[in-house]
Amino acid sequence: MKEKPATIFVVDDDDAVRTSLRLLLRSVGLPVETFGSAQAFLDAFDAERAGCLVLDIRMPGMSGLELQQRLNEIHAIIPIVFITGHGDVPMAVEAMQHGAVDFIQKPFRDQDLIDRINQALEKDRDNRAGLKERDAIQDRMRQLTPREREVLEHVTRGKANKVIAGDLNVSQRTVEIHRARVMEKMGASSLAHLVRMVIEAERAA
Amino acid sequence: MASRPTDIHTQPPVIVCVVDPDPLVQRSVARLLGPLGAAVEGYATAGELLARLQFAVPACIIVENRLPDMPGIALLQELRARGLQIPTIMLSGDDDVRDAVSAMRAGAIDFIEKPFIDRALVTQVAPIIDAGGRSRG
Repeated sequence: MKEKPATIFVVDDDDAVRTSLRLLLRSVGLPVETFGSAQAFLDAFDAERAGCLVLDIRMPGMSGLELQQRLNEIHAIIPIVFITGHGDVPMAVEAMQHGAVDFIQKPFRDQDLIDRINQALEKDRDNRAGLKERDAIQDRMRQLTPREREVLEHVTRGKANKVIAGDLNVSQRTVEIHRARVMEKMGASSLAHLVRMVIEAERAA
Repeated sequence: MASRPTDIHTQPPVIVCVVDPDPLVQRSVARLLGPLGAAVEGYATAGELLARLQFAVPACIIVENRLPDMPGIALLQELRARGLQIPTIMLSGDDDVRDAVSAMRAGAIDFIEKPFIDRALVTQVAPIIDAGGRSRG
């Protein structure tokens, strides 16, 4: 599957800032798209696209904080680096309370911004890898039969085969067979691994 | 052993610690939060607070960023390192986004700029005092 490279989405109402950031980011080989308003970004937003958002906190119309809120509402995972000015502490605090990854205060050094962007991109990669892993585990769980699912639930609660056999009213040997099938279908190397996968899958639900 | 409290007036108070070298700030926080039901204790340094924490677990800690013995953010980190999960609010007179971000990263629930701290403090601390009073009831 071909994926678009991670893109830096810059949202700032100031033409000069957009232009200079576009030039700066291109000069270091980072793909960049710029938007003059939060609404324009939201209209073009595609949750599938990897990258990060560089967002001016103070804008006419929809502010950076409001855009963050909208993105949270649709459970978007794109990391946000806010651009702030003097006097923006209360807004920065609010943005932190709502999960912003980082801030850069104007005027900033180019390298500072690039460092923060790289950190945000790394976070986005981690988030997406985590989601992919979760999807894969859920796929595997869907391939279990209802009985295997039951055994999985009991096993991950730490119950011994003998106890599960009693609970499900089947022989211990049957439980062992189901259990082996569950481990195989889930691709689990150990009970601990299986438990980790189930926790991971449930975190998404 | 401890007798079961039957009357709200016999319950131990909900402790709120304020760490600020400025006695005026300590007093104004006491005046602000006292009527809400908190026993406000003022400390001038991080060291004094840390000593106190060996004997009491406050419901909330309010910390000025500039302390004589260590940066307020370092104090927040120290509290975390000790495994203390006490809601902490940072006060600062400097308009610095970096400080605010560091404080929030260090676990502060809010970062309030001086001198107008009253409304934000009440908003954050009143529910904590209420919850503290209830959990002991």
